[in-house]
Amino acid sequence: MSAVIAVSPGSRRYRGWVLPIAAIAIWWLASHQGWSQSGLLVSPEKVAVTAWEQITSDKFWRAICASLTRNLSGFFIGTSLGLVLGCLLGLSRHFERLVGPSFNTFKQISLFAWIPLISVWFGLGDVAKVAFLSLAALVPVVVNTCDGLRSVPPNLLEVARVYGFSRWQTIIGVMLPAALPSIFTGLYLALVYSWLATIGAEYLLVSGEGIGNTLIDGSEHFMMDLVLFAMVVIGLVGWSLNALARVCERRMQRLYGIAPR
Amino acid sequence: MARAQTARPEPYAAPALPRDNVKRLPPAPIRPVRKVEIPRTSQGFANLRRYTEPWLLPLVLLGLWYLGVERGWLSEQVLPPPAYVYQTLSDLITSGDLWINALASMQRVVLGFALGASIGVVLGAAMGLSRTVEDYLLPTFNALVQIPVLAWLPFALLVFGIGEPLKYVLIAKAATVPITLCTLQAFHQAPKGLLEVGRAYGFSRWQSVVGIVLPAAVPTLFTGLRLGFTKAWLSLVVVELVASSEGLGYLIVYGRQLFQLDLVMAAVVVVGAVGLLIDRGFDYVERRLNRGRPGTAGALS
Amino acid sequence: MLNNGLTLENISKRFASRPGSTTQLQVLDNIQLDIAPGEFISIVGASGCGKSTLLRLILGLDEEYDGRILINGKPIAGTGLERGIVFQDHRLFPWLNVEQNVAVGLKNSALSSAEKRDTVREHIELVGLQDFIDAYPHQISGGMAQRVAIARGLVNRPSVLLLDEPLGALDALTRARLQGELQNIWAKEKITMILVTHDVDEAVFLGDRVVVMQPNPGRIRRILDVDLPRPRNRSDSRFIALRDDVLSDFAELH
Repeated sequence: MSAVIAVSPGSRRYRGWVLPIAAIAIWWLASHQGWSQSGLLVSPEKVAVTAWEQITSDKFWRAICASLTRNLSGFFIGTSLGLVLGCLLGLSRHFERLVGPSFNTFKQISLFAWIPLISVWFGLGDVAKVAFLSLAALVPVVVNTCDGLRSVPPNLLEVARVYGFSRWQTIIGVMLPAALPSIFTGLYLALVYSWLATIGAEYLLVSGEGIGNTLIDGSEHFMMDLVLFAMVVIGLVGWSLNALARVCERRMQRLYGIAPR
Repeated sequence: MARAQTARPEPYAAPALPRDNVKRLPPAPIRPVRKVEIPRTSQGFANLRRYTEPWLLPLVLLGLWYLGVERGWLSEQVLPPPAYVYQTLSDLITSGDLWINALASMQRVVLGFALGASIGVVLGAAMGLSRTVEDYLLPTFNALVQIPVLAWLPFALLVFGIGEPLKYVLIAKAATVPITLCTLQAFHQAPKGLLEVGRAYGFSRWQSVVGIVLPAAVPTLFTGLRLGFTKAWLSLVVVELVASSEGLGYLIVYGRQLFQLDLVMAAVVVVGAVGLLIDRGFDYVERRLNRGRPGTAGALS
Repeated sequence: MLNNGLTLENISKRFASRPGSTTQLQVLDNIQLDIAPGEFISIVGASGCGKSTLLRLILGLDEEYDGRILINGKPIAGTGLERGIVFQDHRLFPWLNVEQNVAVGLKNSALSSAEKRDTVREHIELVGLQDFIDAYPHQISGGMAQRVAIARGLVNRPSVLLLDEPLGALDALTRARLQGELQNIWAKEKITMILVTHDVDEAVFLGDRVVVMQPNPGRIRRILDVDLPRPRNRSDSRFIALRDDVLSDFAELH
């Protein structure tokens, strides 16, 4: 809609780099000209050196592995429970009437408000973290699975009735495939939330190792270079999980012939 | 161009149809629409069930909770009896502590949200209106978005210290992200057909933005604001858990530190209740906004 | 003859005028119709005359009505595989390809899987889509999707095929072609077909009899025998006369 002056795609892609490069240049200047006396203003080279030290150290990889293991176990527990609960809510009117209102109230409680309670009930170790992560992954899966199953087009359900599908055939052959895109959205959100919750759990239930703990170490020792490095790593891992989920979603859609237009 | 030859039609013959193959039923007199009252028998009972069933599960859980503590299956340290929690909650209300803390939280979330929403709408609109701004800004924005609020927290803690600015900045950051993205999406989704109508009638750029793009963007914009507020509320709790001396999150941490789980649970209940209220409020506004708009789904299936 | 076809006895149907309201609208009033086996019946009427509702009742999707619907002398109970349907919106499952969509009609048949496959192939060929067996619904045109729906409706060899404005959403050229194909399929399969349409031309072109319905409340205005040889010629003066005769019914109503 905007009056676009013809710009070649190449130069447009290059425009995206202007801002970050300018920011780094100013940062570099600021740290080298001594514009600020604060010890927090570390130079870009220092961050790069710290990053290299970290990447070549075992400790860092152990932390990443610990975080990812936690993240994935929480994700799997949470989504499995979420799928079961979501299917029950979406398929059984009776169950929905019994449990639906309670669940809707329950999900309003801000996720992180559970942490102090969880720390009392499950301690500060991995059990508590995984419990918290499962909770984070559970909610979006339940909501989207249930929504997807409820909004199956009645037209298609009538087709199933016409051809004498049993209840089971209708669920497997019509309702689940029709709800699949929505269910997948739930899984996708669960992956995003569970990574966020991983950092939260490591941050608020401080014990053991993990990338969140690296971040806290940096913060407690006023090591801005370590903090910045950990932030970038967290962002990268989140982005990779995101990209992975997106690829899976495409595959699934193509498999079911609901290819994106 | 030669004009197509028009065939001269044969003179139209009167219907040469044997009339006796038509079964004429006696013409039905046009009757008014019949309205029939039907008695509804088990209506009352069904209603009763509908209103009681949702309470069944909470009551059972409450019963188990009560029994669990009463019978000593769980120590009061781990799970305080419901009566305690209720007592603490009413103490919080009567002593005014609840209001002080809730007000502090609300102030933070509202101010932070307002800040974040303004930044988000301006950023989104700037990128939506100008390709150039989008080209320069969006990649950096997308990269920064990948880092969750929680990961910004230590950084912000070092930069801003532990005071109020920290909270406003983080809450604003949390709200900015979805609002920017939704605003941008709203501008991108501007109805092409209507924009062409605008061009046909010589709308200026400003006229087509105000008259076409904005009205069409309202629902998406609102979704963004709603999402932004939810995120702001979530971040508020986190920030207060980590660094604060008042607020609902602080109540939770304080209770946890003193091992007063009744206080923790009462505060969690309040956080949930406020979340529920906000959610209902947005629901209501959204329904009012969408009144008169056709449903987005299944309009032509 | 009557006990070997489809019989509608005094069918009446009311809807609540608003959800939850106790006042009701009379949608169908005392419909009586005997349909012989193998007959092609066209039901034509303005929108709101309850013709699609009538079809849903015959199909068994809606079981709250007064009166009786008999097939071969036996009242129907719910949906049954002896009654097939083609809906206006093709209602193909978007996640299944053409072959799988047609096979939906055989989901609960007693055939072996090889027989099923052959029957499905046979019906896809009947509607001329053998080259599109692996295509998904979003990859084919509206006319082709409707053909798949027709194949699905026929694949379990129902004795009655209900057609609910099956060609209503198609462009005029595709519609005319599919009308011809429908007529051929009917002649080949020799089953009862009931076509609901608002297109008088289509009703006269395809029907052995044309049932004209009128609204408020929905009832049969009259029944017309179309005594013309098949395939019919739209420019035949008798065809035109019959069509105008039916059209005159609608002129009276407005």
